[in-house]
Amino acid sequence: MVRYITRRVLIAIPMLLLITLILFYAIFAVGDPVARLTAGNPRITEQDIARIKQNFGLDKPRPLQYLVWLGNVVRGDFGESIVSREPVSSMIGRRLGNTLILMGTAFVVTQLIAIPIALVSALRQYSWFDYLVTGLSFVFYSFPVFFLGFMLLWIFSVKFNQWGLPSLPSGKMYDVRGERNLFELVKHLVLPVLTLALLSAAGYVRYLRASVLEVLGQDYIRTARAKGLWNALVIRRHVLKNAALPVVTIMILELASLFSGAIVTESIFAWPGMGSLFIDAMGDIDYPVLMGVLFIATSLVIIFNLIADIAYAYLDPRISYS
Amino acid sequence: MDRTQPKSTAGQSGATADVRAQLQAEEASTRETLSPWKITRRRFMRHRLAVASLVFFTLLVATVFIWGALLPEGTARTADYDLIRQPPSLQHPMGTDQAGSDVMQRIILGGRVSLTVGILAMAISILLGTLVGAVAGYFGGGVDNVLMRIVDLMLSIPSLFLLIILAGVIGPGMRTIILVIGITGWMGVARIVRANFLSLKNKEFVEAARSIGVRDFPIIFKHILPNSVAPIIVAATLGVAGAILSEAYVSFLGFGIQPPQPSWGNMVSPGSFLLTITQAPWIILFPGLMITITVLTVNFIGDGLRDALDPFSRL
Repeated sequence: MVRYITRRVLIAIPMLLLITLILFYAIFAVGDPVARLTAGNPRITEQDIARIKQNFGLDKPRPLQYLVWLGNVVRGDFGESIVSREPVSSMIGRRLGNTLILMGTAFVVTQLIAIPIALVSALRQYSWFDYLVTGLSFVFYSFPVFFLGFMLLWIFSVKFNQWGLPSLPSGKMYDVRGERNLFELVKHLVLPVLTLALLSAAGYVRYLRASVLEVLGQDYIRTARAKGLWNALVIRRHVLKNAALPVVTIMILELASLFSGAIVTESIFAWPGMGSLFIDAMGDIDYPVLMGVLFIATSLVIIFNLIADIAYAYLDPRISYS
Repeated sequence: MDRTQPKSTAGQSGATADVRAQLQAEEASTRETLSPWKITRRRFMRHRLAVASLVFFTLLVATVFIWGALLPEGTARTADYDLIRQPPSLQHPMGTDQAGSDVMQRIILGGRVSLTVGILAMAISILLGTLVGAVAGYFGGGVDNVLMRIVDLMLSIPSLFLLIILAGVIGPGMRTIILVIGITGWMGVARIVRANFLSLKNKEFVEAARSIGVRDFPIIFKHILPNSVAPIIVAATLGVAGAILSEAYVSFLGFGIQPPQPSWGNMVSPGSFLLTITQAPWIILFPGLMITITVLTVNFIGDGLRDALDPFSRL
């Protein structure tokens, strides 16, 4: 076990370095950040540009720039935004909280919707409820995020407002001049959370239902029933535990994406999170910010992949490390 | 498919049941020889939603490309400020957008872009994925290790981030978007094909081919690959839906196909989302609906194919 984990970590570290190196070069291939920064300013001179480049260390060769960046990251310093001069760590710190509020809530709501529905659907296979769930999950599974977001916004924010019904806010975390309390936050959370949760619940339901059905067909379930165990106990002790195995892995992998946010959803609902930080920084080629967001997102994917593998092997003794 | 099997063997001895099954199998074989493709087609035809989806998708592609070719060059590209944000009417069945263009015409032209991107990007992904998966699975060892680490590497970067950065590197435009979506979408296919090759490469027929001196690449492409065609077809179908969605997301965020060239993705992103919903929801509603219906039908086709091609399913 220890050897397995050590080996995986030893593979993960050079991989992360390689990814950051590739991304570092890719970001500069998008365009020249200083040219983007000074574009449209007629009074800027060649000397100014040279001075700005020197300031950011952009006059040095690219490999050296990368090493400087890497050295700083190892010491916990992500540099500062070339646009606002704010430290990247504090920018990310501010956005990460917002993203976690949105994504964390969506994650919990997804499970609350998906698990009971998938269970009932699988246990009553071929009932009208099962057909309804299978059909709806297929439809929602194919729904683009922006279209569901559009429909929810249109109905519950715009139309309800026009009809004089109590409507939900259309975006942001709080109203511009409104109060900033928990109630306001929850009101602003409803639509984006619903958008995210309905879509990912559709995927979970399909997955979990299939998993439960597969377990229900196993011999040990027949054995459990044959020895006279109550149905409720069979389901709780044998079906649920085994069906949860693959789903737990999926859930752990999903946790990694919670931190990088949902780019499209945040963009639709003007949610000030990591996704919109990335989009804004992309427009300016604000490379310290971009690298910071990407570094965190990628490291989390790698770490949670590792955790998922270990958890799977831990939960299922039939799996051996190799 | 149950016609050829005895309905019930309860109460009969095993031997008579066997004889009966054999007789019926013989009868069936003299009636008609079923090639694998015939069986697949029959099974697919039984999946009614998939068949309906296939008909719809074919019609959609035909409509978009024929109608699109009939529209004069430069249609729905110039702004007409007298016609801004007109609600749907007889003249403009889907209304007009923020530049005064007819939304329906733009949907036809945008559909040409979105469907082309979807299909070609999928083709690139499938080619790349199949090649990588086949080579990794067949040769194994160091080659496999390196290729699979590349797959892991690409899967470690959240896909939309990767898509946006690559789109930025290669530059916006239809061809580049096809390329970008193609080279960010092959990893799943590679894993599927690799797994297939791993299980097939030690089978007797491969052994036989090798013993008569067939070289590695003919074995890969002529002997093993045809046996993994089923999962590749399913992945390809679902890949079209995935690529259409990817185009839509990247263009929605402003990093994909650039206006005035329409695509379904950039049509759902007309400047201010909220303002448009309040004043002219049809501008977003119709292209959004087109993306959703197209993705849904393609997914239905993929689902039907999966069932039809699965040798273990008894449809």
